[in-house]
Amino acid sequence: MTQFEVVSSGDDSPDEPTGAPALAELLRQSASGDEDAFGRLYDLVSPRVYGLVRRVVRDPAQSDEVTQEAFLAIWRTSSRFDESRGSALSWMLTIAHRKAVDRVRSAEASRSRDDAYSSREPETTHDATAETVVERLDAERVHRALATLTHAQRRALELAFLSGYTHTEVAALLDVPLGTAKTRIRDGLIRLRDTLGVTT
Amino acid sequence: MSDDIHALSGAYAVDAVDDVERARFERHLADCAACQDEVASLSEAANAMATIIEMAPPAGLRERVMREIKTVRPLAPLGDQPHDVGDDVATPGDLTTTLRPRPEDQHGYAAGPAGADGRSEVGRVEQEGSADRPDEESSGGLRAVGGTAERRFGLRRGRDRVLAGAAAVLIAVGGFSVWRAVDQPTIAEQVVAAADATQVRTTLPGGGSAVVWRSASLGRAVIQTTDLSAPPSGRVYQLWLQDAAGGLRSAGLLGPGADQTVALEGDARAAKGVGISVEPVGGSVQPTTEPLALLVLT
Repeated sequence: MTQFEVVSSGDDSPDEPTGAPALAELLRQSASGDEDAFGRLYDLVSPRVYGLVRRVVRDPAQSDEVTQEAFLAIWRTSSRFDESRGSALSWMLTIAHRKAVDRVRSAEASRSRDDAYSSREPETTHDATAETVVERLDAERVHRALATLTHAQRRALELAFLSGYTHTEVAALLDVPLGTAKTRIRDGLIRLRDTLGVTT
Repeated sequence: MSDDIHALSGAYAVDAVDDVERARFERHLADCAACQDEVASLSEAANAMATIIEMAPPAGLRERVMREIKTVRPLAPLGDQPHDVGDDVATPGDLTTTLRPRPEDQHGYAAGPAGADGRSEVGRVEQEGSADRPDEESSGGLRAVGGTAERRFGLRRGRDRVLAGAAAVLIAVGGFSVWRAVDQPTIAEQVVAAADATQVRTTLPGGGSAVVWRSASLGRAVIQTTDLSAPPSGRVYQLWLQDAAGGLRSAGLLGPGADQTVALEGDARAAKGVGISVEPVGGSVQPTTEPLALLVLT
């Protein structure tokens, strides 16, 4: 099978390596019940996990809960991580993202559609709240990659991935046909992948 | 039409699909290596986008997480686990116990392992829990009931919603592995989402209510209880499927908790009704008390 991982950036420091191999190793150790290793893993990735959850869920209290659930799931399923199939960070963010999306959709079920849309509507990809954002050294590379997307692709991706809308909802929000929304999301991701150099 | 399903790979990779689409795409994914690879790479790209968003988590979160993991044991690696005793008596597509998010539920987790469904070989899918209690309490126990191993399962709920357990699993299908955090479409999800699903409701004595869905095409039924009062001490609620002749066959036990969603064991395709009765702990071969509810299936 081919393997994919984003080419590692140059932000590893000697004291706190956050490169892919370090995270994968900590996950492996966690899988055997090593709580200290998991604590180190938490320290390394929690800002990104929480950042993503918070971006999707918005509400701080619920973001707190979802992040906790995500880390519990990461701990519990740590043995399921297969590094031949992708990076440890991506694996963890996938878990967190799914939980965040589930939460935001279920929380909305009782609210009106319009309210839900306006509350989840983002302004930009950057989270511009006062409590944010630690700019990471490798963020520049991602920003540059995002800049290669069309505005339409970027918007579709923001709504789908960062705001947790289904592609059907994205189509409605952007007032485009369903196929268009699907294509923009997919093409945007492909462009991002190729520009970032997701390697085999 | 077949073009359509591949085109979902991008949306799927960023969770921009609803439950039904997810289930449908995952069925497709099991047979499509190209989509598996694409989803893997697109997912990696999406998560790279996420890495630029960072926010310091609240101070108490670390302690809460570290405390919680003490009560939950990491899953053993796939392939190392013994088969369930009950595997040979389990019905196909057995025993998944998570369900679709509902607004009023928040924390929840499946008690007990899920078995393989008819479409793919699943290596020990287990779902994580909210770990209000130690893992041991939540795991599905096997109870011998008149010589038949019945699996006890149930879903505990907290405040708002039930987690559709995002177990990241390796699903080995025909030699291919789908690596990403795939949510196995649960029996309950499938039944409720099935095009031919019918639904009946009843109130329960002592307060509370129950809803039963049945999908003839899937041949399974699901019951969801709300505010179910606790059974008497030493007793447990048992589920029954009623056949056309009126006979009752055990469909499993309800776990503890006022709000549960449980997939009934056994073939519900031709069932005439679903019953709930109070039985001694461990269940009975036949009801020993008058069922407190008997829902007639449409």
